[in-house]
Amino acid sequence: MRIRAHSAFGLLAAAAILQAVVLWRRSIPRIPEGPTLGDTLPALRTYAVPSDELIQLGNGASEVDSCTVVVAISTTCGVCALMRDQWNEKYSHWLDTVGAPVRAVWVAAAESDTLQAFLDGSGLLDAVGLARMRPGDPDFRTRLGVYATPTVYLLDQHDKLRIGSLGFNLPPVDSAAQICRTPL
Amino acid sequence: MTLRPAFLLTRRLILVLTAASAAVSCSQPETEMLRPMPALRELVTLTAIAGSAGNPIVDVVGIDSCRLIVADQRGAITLVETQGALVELAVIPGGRSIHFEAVRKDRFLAWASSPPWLARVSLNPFALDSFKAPRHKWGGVFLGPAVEFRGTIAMAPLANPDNSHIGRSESGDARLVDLLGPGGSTSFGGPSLPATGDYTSWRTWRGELGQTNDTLLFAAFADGTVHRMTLSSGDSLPAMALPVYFRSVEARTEVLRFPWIQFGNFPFFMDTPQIVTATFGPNGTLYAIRPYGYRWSPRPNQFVRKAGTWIPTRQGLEIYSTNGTSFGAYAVPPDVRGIQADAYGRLFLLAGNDVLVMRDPSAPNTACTYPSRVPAVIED
Repeated sequence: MRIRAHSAFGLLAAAAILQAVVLWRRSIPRIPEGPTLGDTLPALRTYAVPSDELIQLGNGASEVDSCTVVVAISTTCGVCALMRDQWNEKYSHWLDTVGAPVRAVWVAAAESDTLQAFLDGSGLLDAVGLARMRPGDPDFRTRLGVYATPTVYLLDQHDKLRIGSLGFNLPPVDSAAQICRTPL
Repeated sequence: MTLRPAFLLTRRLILVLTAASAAVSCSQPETEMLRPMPALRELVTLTAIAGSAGNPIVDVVGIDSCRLIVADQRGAITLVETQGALVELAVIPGGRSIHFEAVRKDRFLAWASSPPWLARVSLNPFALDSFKAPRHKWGGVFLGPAVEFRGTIAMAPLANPDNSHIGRSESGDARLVDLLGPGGSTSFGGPSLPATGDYTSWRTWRGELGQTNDTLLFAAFADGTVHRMTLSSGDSLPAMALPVYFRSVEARTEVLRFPWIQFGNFPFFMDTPQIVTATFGPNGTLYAIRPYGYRWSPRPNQFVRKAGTWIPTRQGLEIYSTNGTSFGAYAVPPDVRGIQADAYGRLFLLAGNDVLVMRDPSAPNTACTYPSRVPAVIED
């Protein structure tokens, strides 16, 4: 009887500790997970700027057989403004060094007018694909995993996420060349 | 017979654990008070210059004839006349957050850190002369609090928290204050800051520059001290220490790393500075927004367990002359994020989207009168 009582006590104590741990873990807010490296970028509903046509981004929606650099920006971020001003020069140099075709798509959760005003005069409207999500679209954070702008992703020819970086950092040339020069 | 005590003991254990868990989750540490906060007097409000939620005012400077100049988030620099008439003087493109320095001899400096932009603004007539800011010793163009100082520009780029991302450098330590001239940027004065280490090393030197006669002044926000530097040596001498109301906690940086990001990270800087923000008046008078203690507001998540923010429990404006004489402590709005003072007896508090124009209690009464509220944003 004594042994059984000790066992029951131990069991209940373990359950109590387990419950406390679970409660404590639940009290910590979870930031939604972003995309997973190596997986196809989740399908996202975006709108072309300025035409506002619905375009699907990610999940094999790409019809081009090349890598894609996805740049998530916001129109109020200073580094994004710097990126806008220096993009053409830096990206063309990066592209030459990578030595493989890579298309660039900029994504922002903003109104079309705001986005166009932000890029006005930069020459980028013709140089990059521009995809817009609704302002405050939760998918911008939860599915695209953007918690700071600019966030830059390199997708391979299968729209699989291969490299993610924060700030005005294009993916390392060596890695990008290895990924994007590999034939399908 | 032995089961019941075991059950009671277990139930007690559960209660204790639950209470401990609740206590941990509810307790919000506060900084330790060392002396009581001063009694706060009321400031006299002259007017409110109103920005808008989508386009708040980011900085302001007072000029002659009771006029003032504001910069909004859109990059517009606008002259506000006495009766509220607006004249848009310039629009600086690039989504920059523009900072103004105090007016000295009919001109002032304006700058933004990203993208870097530096200009000298002349008044009477208005002219804006942008010029290329030199590269910092650590490799980029970094801008921060600045003041025209004996024919050159003294700047403290490492005192600007926006530059906390500068990162490591191979080029050795840098002084806090640089002198910018046609030949580039030279390290000038203040403490020598290490080029390596975490983000904390220079964020603890956040502060504001000012000057009086031939002396450069630097207010260090972390410990509430004012340092003097002379052009001849650049050596930094502590000149004044403001009253310390609470014990600051040690500043630290937690770095947030996401599994889907391999390059770059997201640093959280946590500190309890003795000054929230400050400005020097034209004659070196210090206007400091002082916190009177902080409480910890946790924001833990699964990537950074200890992330959070220290929030001031209460704050006020304290004014000190260059020799440390106090001009009193005054109540300010809880959301004040910037302050400017001019030579015409006006104080400007940046709060929310607006600028509150107040009478400077340390200066002779201004004769300026305004409508009670002036919209300052010219809509397209």
